[in-house]
Amino acid sequence: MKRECPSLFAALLISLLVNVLLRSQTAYWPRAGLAAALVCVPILAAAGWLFARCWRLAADPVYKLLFGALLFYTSVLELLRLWQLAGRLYPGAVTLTSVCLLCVLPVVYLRRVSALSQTAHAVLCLLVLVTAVMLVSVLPRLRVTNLQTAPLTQGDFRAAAKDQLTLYPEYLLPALWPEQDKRGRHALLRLAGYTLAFDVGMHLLLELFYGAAMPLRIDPVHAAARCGALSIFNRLEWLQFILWVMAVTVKLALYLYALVRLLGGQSKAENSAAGLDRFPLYLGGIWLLCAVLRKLDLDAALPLRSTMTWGFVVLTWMGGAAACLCKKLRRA
Amino acid sequence: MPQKPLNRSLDANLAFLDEMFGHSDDFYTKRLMIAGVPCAAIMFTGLSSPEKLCRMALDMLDRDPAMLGGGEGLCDYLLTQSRIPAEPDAITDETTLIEMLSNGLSVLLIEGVAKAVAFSTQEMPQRSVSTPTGEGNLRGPQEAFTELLRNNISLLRRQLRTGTLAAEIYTARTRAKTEYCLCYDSRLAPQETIDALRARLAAVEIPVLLDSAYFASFLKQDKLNLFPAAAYTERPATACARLCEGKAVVLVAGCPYALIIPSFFAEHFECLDDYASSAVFAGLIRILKYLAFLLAVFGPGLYVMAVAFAPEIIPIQLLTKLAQGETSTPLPPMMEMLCVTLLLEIVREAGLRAPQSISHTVSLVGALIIGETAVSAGIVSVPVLTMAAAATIATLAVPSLYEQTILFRFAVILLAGCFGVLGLACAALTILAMACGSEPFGYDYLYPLLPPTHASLRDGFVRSIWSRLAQSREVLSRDET
Repeated sequence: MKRECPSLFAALLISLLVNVLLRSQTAYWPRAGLAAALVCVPILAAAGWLFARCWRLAADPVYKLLFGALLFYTSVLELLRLWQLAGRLYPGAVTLTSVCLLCVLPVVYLRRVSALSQTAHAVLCLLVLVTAVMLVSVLPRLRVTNLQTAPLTQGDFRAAAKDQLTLYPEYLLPALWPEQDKRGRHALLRLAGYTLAFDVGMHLLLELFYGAAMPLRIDPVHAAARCGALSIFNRLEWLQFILWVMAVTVKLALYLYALVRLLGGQSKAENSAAGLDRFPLYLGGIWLLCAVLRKLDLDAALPLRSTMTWGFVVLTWMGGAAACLCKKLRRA
Repeated sequence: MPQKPLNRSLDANLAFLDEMFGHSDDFYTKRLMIAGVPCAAIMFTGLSSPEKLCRMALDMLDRDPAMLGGGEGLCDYLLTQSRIPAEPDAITDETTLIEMLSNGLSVLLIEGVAKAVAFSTQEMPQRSVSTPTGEGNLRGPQEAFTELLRNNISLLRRQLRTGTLAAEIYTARTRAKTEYCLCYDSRLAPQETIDALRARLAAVEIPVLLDSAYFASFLKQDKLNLFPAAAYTERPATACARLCEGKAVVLVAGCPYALIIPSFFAEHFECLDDYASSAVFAGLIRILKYLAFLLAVFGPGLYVMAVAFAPEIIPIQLLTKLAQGETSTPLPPMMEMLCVTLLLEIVREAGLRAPQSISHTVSLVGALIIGETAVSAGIVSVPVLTMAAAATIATLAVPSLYEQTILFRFAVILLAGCFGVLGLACAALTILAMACGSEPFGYDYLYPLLPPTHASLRDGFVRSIWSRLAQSREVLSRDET
């Protein structure tokens, strides 16, 4: 009951799962995804592990600044994605400013690591519960006959692998956490495994629901939830949306914590909260960048972000390798 | 602060006291001779009894053989040899002298001695131990704390008859020098928690300490957090149960409510009856309380959100009824709900503060006349009134979270009314984050509810049977969940 070393695994996991839920279109067929996941899980975990090793050697202010910028840009992309989704689901009801304000406001209470960790656990439980309710509500509409039997092509496997190899900053964040030995073994492997399993599972569910029409649906998860009926509650998609907003907020809080560790001068106490004095600056910055990028094509920007993340990772690997080489040369 | 010692001269000491308290009519001084030594008995009538002093000390002194050694001998005799129940330590300075007199003790000043002897002759008017008024229970002990600190400690000690019960009495840094007592079980309570609590309480500096709740704000880690860091009880039995869980209890002189530290969210949904009734029934009642809390906080906001932003979530038959109600009222749903909720709060506050003889009238006028006429005049709709009333009733199911429930409810109504589903999500997450972020002395506020473990079912959302609870020996620990 006393938290000595709060784990952020739940926050990382929820940040990754929400990417699956907020997807505007499905990316691959589940059979191809399942096969690709067997390869992609170790690749993602290895990328994160190697990044963490190199980060310890190579981290200098330029790298920190680059990583900080990447996190800030990702936060803005997440808010824009949520805003665009909210605009499609509740047209005219949500403005960009209100999305920024309402998603960033609860972050005030998530500045402390233990609060973030505990809230992420709660949101994860709720997400699992609500997803189960959604599953039950759409159960009568799931048809085994909807499963596609056409042979998969190389292109299908490539598409699945390409989508699953999207590198989110969550895989890199554990490198910033203090006392990494206490985080449990194979944390990155579990993180990648759970995420891709959920991704494939969700694709399977959607295939059972939509059949051959799956790739054509916009906001497929929400559209499926909208068709669900449970007793007198014939529409439960609003509950899904509430959980998604919560998950995005947890993600923003996680990024803010990482930003504070990167740029804000690391506090000695791990559990110390990010100062409230900088919070208006953060909120203002997020809102301003959202306003500037409001017309951004997210379908192009999200893959580009992944490419940028890979690029940053490769840069860090190179920096780490160079630092390691220099150290060895000095010793010699 | 340097303390000024007492004077050897009786007259000088009396002059000091006369200067300090001479203008007070309840200040009592009597010069007398004991064994040929000039002395003076001093006390505050009302706090201390002259008759008790005579019966306890002076009569006995008359019967004792003559003492030799003058003033010093008399003082030594009273403190160390006599059977007279004087306080074991002599008073040597003016500050202690004033403190003792203010605490209701009688003091004997002796000529030629720079010390005074105190006698416990307190006789203050006090309320007898009565039944609790704010914590209703069907079973279990029906005693409540009173205003007297010593009585409250004795009530605790009667319940917890163990040598490990520590009761440390301190004087708060207030102008009134109010005493408070830190109670804990020295075997069960974590030492670092008790040390931290002791230090925090000692650092509190306020002009006046009239209630144990004054301490609560100083114990919060995050001042923006609305959830309380401490719980209150007026039942010694509840305080005793918390002591057995390794928590600390703070009693403040003059306050019949004990402060329990640290306090967890789940405790607000527990009561003594839970453990006296069957586990199944207790579990059902607890779940009902959680649902009542959710209804009280989110019910009105959810209604506003559904009616104003997402009518598709309402079943069609219900929607027709709601639409009929809403079309006949001039205000938008959010304003309507806010007005009704505010009115209900005003009625509650008026009923609470008004003299008891007219408080029923206030409730009657508020509930029947205003409610009935507002509906018949078409100012508010029946569904809104029903939802607001249901939320108000649900609030009373968890009375210890009343303040938080009301504040959260208003916030949820405003956010859901202005921003719809997004506002409701923001409000829900903010409340959740507040609960998760509240860390009384480093402990998880949501323990044992979150993260879900066996403890959640053992004594969290529901409670296990007694044989299992007895095995678990639930105490505060340093286990990482």
